[in-house]
Amino acid sequence: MIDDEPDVIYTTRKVLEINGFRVDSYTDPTLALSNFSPGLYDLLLLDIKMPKLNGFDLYKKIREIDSNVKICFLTASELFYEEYRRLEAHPRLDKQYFIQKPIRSEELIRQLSKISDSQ
Amino acid sequence: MILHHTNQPEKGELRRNQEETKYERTEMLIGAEVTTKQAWEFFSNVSRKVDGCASSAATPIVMTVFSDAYKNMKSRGIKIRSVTDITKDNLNHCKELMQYAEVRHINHLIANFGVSETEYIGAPTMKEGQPLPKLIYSNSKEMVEQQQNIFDIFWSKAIPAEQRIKEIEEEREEEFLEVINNPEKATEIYVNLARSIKSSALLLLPSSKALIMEYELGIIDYLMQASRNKDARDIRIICSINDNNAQIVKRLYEDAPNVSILNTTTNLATKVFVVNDDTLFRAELSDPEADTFVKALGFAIYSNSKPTVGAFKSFFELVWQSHKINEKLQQADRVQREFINIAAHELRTPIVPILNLSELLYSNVKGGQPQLQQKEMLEMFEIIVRNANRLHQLTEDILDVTRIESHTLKLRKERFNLNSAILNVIANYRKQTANGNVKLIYEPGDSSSITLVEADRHRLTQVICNLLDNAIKFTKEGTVTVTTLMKRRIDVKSDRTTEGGEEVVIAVKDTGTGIDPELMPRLFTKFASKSYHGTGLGLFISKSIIEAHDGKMWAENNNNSSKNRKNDGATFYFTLPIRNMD
Repeated sequence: MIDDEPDVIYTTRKVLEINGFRVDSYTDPTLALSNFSPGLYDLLLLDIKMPKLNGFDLYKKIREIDSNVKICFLTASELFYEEYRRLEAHPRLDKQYFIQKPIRSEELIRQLSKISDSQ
Repeated sequence: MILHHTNQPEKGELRRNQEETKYERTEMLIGAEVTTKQAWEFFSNVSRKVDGCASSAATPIVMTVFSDAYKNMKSRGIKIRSVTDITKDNLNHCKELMQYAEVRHINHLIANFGVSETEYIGAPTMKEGQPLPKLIYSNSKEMVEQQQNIFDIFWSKAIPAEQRIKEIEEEREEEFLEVINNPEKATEIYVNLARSIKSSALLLLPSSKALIMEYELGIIDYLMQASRNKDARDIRIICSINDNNAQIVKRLYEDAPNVSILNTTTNLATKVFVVNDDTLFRAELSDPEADTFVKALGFAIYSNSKPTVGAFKSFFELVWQSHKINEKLQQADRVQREFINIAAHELRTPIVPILNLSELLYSNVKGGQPQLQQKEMLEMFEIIVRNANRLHQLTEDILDVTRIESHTLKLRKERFNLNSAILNVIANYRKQTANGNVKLIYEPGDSSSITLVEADRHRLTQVICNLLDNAIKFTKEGTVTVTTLMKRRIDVKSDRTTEGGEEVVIAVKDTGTGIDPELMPRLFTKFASKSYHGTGLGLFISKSIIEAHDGKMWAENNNNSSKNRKNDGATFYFTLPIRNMD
């Protein structure tokens, strides 16, 4: 999980771990990228609005290294706005990989399970 | 052809001497030779003054045939008055006439005569390029007086030649309005018009495609060339811009920054081109889809008629202004969307820990799952409280921004001692930063420790807190110094000290990272923050509060002079007017 807000990381991490996920987290997207290697993770949760490297650019760079890892965006921004930017930058990104923050814990787990179970 | 015979016995006889002038005669002379001779005599008989009246065609003849007579009269000190119809064609002759005579102008004057104190000559049939075929002569007192009266009427109705000449020289060209059905001819006129741009050019294009055709025709190059001319002051294009013509627009932006382009969404079936404020080319499109300029062109109007040109200039302005307003609205809309997006992000983020950690704590208390340690629970509560505070702060900030923008920010002014207010704030901060690495210093510049201001104490505290928060945030280690200084008030507009006015300048100086130069120009605008933890509303609100108090707020980095920007920190200043007690 990559998000520049430490409190968001702390919270989401707790929710995920209690529900059986094992989580690595970064508040610095560039550090996350340099520590990334293919096959290390099943699922990446990316924030979009981050300093140094925004979620979309991080997505692009990770895709260059690993085309299989599932990537999901967790954003507090307006979805219509991010949708627009997504369509401009990455027309093939599917809508279901966008999750709006805040989200009830149960719902988050339900959506992430669906994504990680899908092929 | 004798009009009236008097004592003169023979027609056309020109034996004349002193004695004979007492004979009254009025007659019509025929034949260039006699008429010219009589006219010469008329001029040489003038003793004090002579008045002349000549049509537009007559003046060049007079100046060609009789300029020596005029020269001679002038040298004799004779007062010459002349009324004529000054036109573009006889302008030079009229100017010559003005060397000898006082000249006035009457439109479409057709009378040709001369009258001195004693004699009259009239030339009823003067034609351009011909000598005088006929001449009426009279020395009859009644006749002379009558002609003098006629002349005086003309003279009083006429306008000074200088005025008329100025008019002609200003609009040398006669008005024309041509309707052109031949596209080749219209194109040629159009290109020449583009070539003649000096001061201004307004071009309204019917479609995005039209811009490409204009470019191929060289029109855009002429516009760009003209825009570099020092006389060029107003070169504007209204055109629909899309991917196909974007390259041309880009070139215009880069190579001709003086050319303004406005993007229109509507396609018209007409093209309007107004050059130098005085010439119009307007064309209808017969085939908007055609590939070349000539093929696309329908019938065209080419004119310098003032009302026509004026009407199309107004039309262009109208389209221009309405699009400008539209652009502004769109810009405002973008700003609003940006505001909503950032506000949404900032409001939602602290809700994540508040919501999800509360859920965890709730299910822990209710069902014992998950099992949380006491320490862990405390940590969670701390995070919840911290984020609730952050949300609260943001809520207040957004409400303040709304108040500022809707001009409903109310100040509750009271008179209080600024120094003690600052000291209070600093004392609170010292408690908070007691174990930190930032030292807080307060230096009141005035020896007296009382600086009375009339202000909203709560709002002023908010401003000082905001500045201190920022200073401490960007100074991990070092000092933050607050100083106050009394000054004469300078009126910014007149650069003069305002009478009796004083102001206090409050400075908050830190030794932190300084202000990002990139951020500097929009430091006090909404959401101007490079920090990802902060709303970027604080300085906007603070500046608005200070301005509501008639003060000013600004900021600078502490090492403005030095080239390599070392981190010497930044200083924020604001002023408050001091109104002396009456």
